[in-house]
Amino acid sequence: MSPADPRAPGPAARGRSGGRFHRRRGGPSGHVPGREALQPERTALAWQRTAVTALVCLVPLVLVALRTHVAPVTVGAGGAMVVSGVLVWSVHRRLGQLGDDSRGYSPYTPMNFVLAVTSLGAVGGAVVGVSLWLR
Amino acid sequence: MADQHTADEGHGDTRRPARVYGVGEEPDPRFSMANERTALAWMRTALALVGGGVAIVSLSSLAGMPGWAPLVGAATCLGGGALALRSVSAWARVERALRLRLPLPAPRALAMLAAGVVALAALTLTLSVVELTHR
Repeated sequence: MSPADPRAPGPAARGRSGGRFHRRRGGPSGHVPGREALQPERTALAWQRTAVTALVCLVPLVLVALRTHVAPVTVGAGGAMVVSGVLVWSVHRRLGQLGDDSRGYSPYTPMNFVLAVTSLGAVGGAVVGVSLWLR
Repeated sequence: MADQHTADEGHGDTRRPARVYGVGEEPDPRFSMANERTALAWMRTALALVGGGVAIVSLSSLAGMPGWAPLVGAATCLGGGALALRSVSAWARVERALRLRLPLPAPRALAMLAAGVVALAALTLTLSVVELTHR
């Protein structure tokens, strides 16, 4: 594996074989992604930022739904809160998968959770907005 | 021609969606992670739009803003929802192109987002001017 090989483990991997992302003794086996520029860590942080943003965006929606007494929005916001909880769990799972590069991973399912939260928030906000406009 | 790669390389891959992971060969993990992070950045942009829309709606119900303000908030929420949907489909298209070693698709969502924000700003400005002149 030449130094120019993008799949070669970088300095971060060599120095972190017992760290957060390498729980197994001797580090991960199999298809090891390049660790240059802390790629897995950046991806995990991106997931964390997205999960936190999804949760934070729901707070004003719940408050508005409670204030305006639009029952479907309150139910929708509650559902979005549940999906956000599942999303946080998915992020935790993703962090674990970053430590085992031999396992195939698809971000499709957690991405769909984010999509569900965003869609519920969007529909809830639109319903409240239109109902306020019609009053 | 690129579709000749189909299923030969991705055969037996149980990851979803099959239209992405059932074709081509495994790309450099760094590129997949960069694609994942880009999709997450789009998701956060969509969440910011939804959060902004909900904030406009809640402010209009609390602060006695003009009657059209909730409608602008609702439009912002719906735009955020559409952008979230678009980000998942763009992730799938880019990942598929990476696996098939094809040129990456053009980021059309960027132009759509810019056009949407400009249109929303123009609408808000126009309605504000009309509101001021009628006072």
